[in-house]
Amino acid sequence: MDIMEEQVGDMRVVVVSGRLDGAASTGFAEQVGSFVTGDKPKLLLDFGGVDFVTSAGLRAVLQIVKRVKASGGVFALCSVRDPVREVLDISGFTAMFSIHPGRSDAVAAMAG
Amino acid sequence: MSAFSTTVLAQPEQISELTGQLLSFLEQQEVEPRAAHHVTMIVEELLTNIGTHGGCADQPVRLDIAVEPTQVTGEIVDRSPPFDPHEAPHPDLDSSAEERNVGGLGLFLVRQFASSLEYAHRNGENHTRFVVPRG
Repeated sequence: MDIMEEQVGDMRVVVVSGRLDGAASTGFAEQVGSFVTGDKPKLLLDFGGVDFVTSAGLRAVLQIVKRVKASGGVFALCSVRDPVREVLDISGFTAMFSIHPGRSDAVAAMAG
Repeated sequence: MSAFSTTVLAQPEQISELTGQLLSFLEQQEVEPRAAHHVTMIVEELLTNIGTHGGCADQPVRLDIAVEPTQVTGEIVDRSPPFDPHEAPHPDLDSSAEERNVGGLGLFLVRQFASSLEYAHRNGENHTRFVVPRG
């Protein structure tokens, strides 16, 4: 699993790739969680390179979402592959945050 | 029909190595990405459950996967205490992020994505069989 972070305006964009599975999930939650700083953080995870997710990965995502929301911030995903999207949908995650088709859509929606 | 068979210890690093191999195998067999993902996810969820709730992370678990023209079938055989994956409680899917419990999704996902899920306890072994349709 690879995690790369960049600042785009007032938002943190984290590009994730690889398998978000039981072995990777704890490190993922800790590393991405460390990017959630300050008041009302904006965090976008670009999942374009994530080709596999399990319940452990969903748990890690939920921990990060909780952290962002506890600080009054905004969390979103973009570029999610179809099988991963299906898992998010069926787990009720799509109702908890926005999932944008691509990064430019997400940046535009979160800029306001 | 092509087959993938192995034994694995139900521990996160070993499971991760196995799921990487299984995804490669399914891709080589030209199994559609959706089916390949869900088969591999089901394998990880069942193995993780054996390692954590079954308390059998130190005993080899057998996995057999068969790629058929219209479906992929899998069987997992382990010696942890009898456990029917149908009996796991339904998770909380509707709460807001703030209120939602972070656990309990694994076997729910297995039940959702397997078109068939069969369980039997024979000769001291759990036999869990599942089917994921292709296409």
